[in-house]
Amino acid sequence: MSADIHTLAGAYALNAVDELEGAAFERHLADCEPCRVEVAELRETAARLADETVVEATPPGLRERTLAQVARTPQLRSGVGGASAGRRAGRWRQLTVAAAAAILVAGGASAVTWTVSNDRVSDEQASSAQARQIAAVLDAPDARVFERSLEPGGAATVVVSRNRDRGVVLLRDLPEAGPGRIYELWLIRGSQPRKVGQLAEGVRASTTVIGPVAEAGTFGVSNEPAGGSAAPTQIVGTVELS
Amino acid sequence: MSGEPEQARRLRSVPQDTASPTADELLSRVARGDEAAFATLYDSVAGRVLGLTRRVLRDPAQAEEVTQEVMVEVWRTAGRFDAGRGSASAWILTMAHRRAVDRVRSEQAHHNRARQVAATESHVPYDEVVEDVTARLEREQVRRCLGRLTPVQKEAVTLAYYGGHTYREVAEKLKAPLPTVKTRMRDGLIRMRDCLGIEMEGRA
Repeated sequence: MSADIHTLAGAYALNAVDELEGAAFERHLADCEPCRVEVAELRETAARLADETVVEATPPGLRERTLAQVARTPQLRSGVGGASAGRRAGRWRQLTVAAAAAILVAGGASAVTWTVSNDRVSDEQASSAQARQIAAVLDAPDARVFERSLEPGGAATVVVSRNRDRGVVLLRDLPEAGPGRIYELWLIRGSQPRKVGQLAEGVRASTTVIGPVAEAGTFGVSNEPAGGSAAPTQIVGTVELS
Repeated sequence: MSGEPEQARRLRSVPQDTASPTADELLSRVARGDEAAFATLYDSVAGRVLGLTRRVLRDPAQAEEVTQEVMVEVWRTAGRFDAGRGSASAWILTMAHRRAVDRVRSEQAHHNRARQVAATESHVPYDEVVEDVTARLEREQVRRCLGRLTPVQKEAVTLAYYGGHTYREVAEKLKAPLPTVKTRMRDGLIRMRDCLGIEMEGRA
């Protein structure tokens, strides 16, 4: 992806990005193995900064309270998938399902209600961060909702907050993209498309935070070869954002 | 952009005293429900978790709350720790840092950030913790490596990490452009990484 987002690696490792940027960066990481290694190393480095803050005498009450709480707290079972990438994908899918099931769009420009099933996402840090990012858009006072059926089937709902410069795209019931093909998401300004996301192969529903949206007039979904395309080659649906 | 490595031989992650179990080993025992291993792990990291959350939150009571939350979360989710992506202590401290900054930011949104100083804690009784030599050497190494950053890199990194500020807030404070601040943070951390000799398996 772009070199620009990659410069966020330092700020990201320092937890110095806002939630939306954090989500965008995590999507970037999912596609970029060298970036994951760099971020892991910079995180490791940032954590060493805590050495400087060490408290040499911690309150005994804190230790007692913590051990007592641990004694009555059940542990989560470890994930079924072995590889970390698989687990990360799993989290993303889990949120997608929860959010897709739960976003209710009421008619009217500002009346958006939503819930995210907390018991499904609360133990997943990544997912709850995603949920907050989605909430930030859906809760924006200027949030507007646009909905459209797509040509081959399925539907797209786009919630846009110009103030927050972000949108949430909910895609559902898309038909199979076809063997070796995927769906890609675009924001179009004038006649210039900008890629804002893509679904993994075989994925037919998603909730995606997109942005910046300020200048974009149209949202589009296209069907592309699995490697992705620099520009959309086969648009399957567009949503006018005005 | 990075400085010369301080040591020719690169270490993987945090150097550990060979005599006692590493945080990684303890965490894998914790993942199997070993409460004694958890108590040992607590003793080895709580000083840093509490120190870090105090530095970011500037409120001893809240720092204790967050420390307890984080350590219970470590117990709960130990099975999900992935040693391929970093050390156990970095995993724990990243979680602690994130929770502390989340709390700072949500409080700032409500305009009621506590601004107490650490000077009010002296009435609290404390455990005596004997700091081992390894820990002291590691701390000195961090200080030395932080000293190798340019002043503007150091300023950006420390405002973000210890101050809990986003890079946008840092840019506003320093009246510097956003891309400049992003670059300072990344270059500064890279320079520190190389000075500390941190290298993940899998780096080309």
